[in-house]
Amino acid sequence: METQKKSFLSVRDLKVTYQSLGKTVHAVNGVSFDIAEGETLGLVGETGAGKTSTAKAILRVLPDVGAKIEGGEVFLEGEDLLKLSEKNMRNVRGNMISMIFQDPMSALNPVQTIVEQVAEPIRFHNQISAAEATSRAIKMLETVGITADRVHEFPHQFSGGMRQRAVIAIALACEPKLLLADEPTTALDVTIQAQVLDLIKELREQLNTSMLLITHDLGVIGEVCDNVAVIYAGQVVEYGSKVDIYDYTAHPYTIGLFASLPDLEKTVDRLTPIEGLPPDPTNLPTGCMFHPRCPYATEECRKNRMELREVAPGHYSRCIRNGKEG
Amino acid sequence: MSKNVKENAAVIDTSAPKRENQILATAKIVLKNPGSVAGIIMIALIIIACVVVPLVSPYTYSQIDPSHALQAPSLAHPFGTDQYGRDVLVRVTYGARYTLSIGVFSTLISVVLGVLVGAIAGFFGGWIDNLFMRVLDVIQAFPQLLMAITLSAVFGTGFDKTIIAIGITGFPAVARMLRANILTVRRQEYIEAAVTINCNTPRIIMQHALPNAVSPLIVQIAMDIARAGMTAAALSFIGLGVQEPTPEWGALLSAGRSFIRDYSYLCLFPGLAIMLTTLSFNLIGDGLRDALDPKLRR
Repeated sequence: METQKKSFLSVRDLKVTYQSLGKTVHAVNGVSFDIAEGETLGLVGETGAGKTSTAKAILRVLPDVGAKIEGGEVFLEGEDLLKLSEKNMRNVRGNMISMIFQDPMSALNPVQTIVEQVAEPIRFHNQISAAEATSRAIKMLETVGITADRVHEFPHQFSGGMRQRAVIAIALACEPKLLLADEPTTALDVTIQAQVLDLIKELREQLNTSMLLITHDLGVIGEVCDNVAVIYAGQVVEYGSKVDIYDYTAHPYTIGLFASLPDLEKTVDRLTPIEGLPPDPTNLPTGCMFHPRCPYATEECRKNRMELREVAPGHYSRCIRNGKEG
Repeated sequence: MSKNVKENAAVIDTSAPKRENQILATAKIVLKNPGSVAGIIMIALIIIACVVVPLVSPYTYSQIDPSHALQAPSLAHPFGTDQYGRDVLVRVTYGARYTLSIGVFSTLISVVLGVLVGAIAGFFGGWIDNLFMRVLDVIQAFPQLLMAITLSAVFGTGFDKTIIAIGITGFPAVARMLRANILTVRRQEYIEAAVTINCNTPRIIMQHALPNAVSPLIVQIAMDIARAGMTAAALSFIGLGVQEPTPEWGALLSAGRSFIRDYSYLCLFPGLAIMLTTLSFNLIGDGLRDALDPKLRR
């Protein structure tokens, strides 16, 4: 990809497996993408497609029981995070890269006050007094819209939207260069979703933070992202700018995703789902991962693994149909 | 309005962390439970009695007076006298300090050991967990009292050795309970989130895992003090534990046993003391459990 040099985060051929009950779960099977500085990449896919595993592998916080990064490279400003020592990795976590979790109800420690939790990463990464960390934390909380009179409260005294604001404040406390947002709005009401998305967008622009936004909500992607990577069975099946993906959809899976969305302007009795189920990650299909569900599958699809092909400059699709006709 | 908010914020900024308020809130709920209040009052009375009575009484706990042996309760000797003419009231109240402090200190040992083992086993899992749990299995394979008897026999008798023996007997239960709680807490997202902000493991355990896992333990501690006191009494009763003439409650019971037919008060008063203390701690424990159960809060 020609943006290699400018790219800020560059993930190459990342592979993650889990050991579960004697079986190997292939969660991520060679994911590659780039994020430029200040850019937002949306990672879309179904449940179990490997989105969260990808993010956790980047931060190297996969659960220690059975999870393993089988291969690949994760370059952050040219340095391979997967090769860093655990000690150096500490400098990255929470400081260079931080993560926003999906469920604000469970991502906050119930017995610590909000301000204590925001101050924690600030103290880890700066040699400052507790009092100063607290005052910085209060400032950060004000930035995300939590007033100073509420910062000494406990998580159970906050509403879902406020908790997610607090989670965002924790993630941004050290002004990281990269934010991994793992479905930051999934657990929220629609109205709160919009507020939180606006907040993330605003802060990201303010701090010039790059972001990997994980979601299964195509609407969220359209709202916030510059580029989009569609992930299926642990592989990126389509990758391109937002316009490429939305207006020049190339991969049959992405086409299926869009087809399954309800349309505001049409009255339909039933939505059109993609037939079948995502593949069993302990037993992946041969050939193209999507062929069992693909309406266009051919004999060749069943036999050979597909590579990403460039359909248009900067727009890639992992499908035999693309790249031939163009 | 905005000025008001600012002032408010300034006031709150300088205030102490609200954790104290949480303890206060818990205490308030406990104080609303009549049973716990009764328990607290009884324990307070016992402690006051155990300090005041030996001070004001004309007798000491070891003062022998054969001419007044085995007297029934009277004004001069409200709880009567034993076979050597010693005042039972003084002996029972003086004995409280032994029974209660054995209860408290041995529970302290149980809790320190139990929290250490339980937290490490629960948090790290894997072979560490297996190793610790199998050792606990072995300890717990013996009935608790038998274990306490065995340990007392090994360590010898006496106040300090009894505390150690009972402390070691009690810690596997604490460790198991804490391990189970840590296991459920460890998989919570906030623990994972703590890793992503670069929290080191000891700090994760101390700051994030333990505080969320200890509330059931606090209840257990209240009950454990009673249990340890009873074990101490049981040990003294069979001649291990604290020795004559130290008036530990179990030892008093044991000594009074031979006279129970004719002079039942020799057993009645120490027995009542043991019962009331155990009951009080259990009542306090019940109240604490209700107060710490988040479903009953607010």
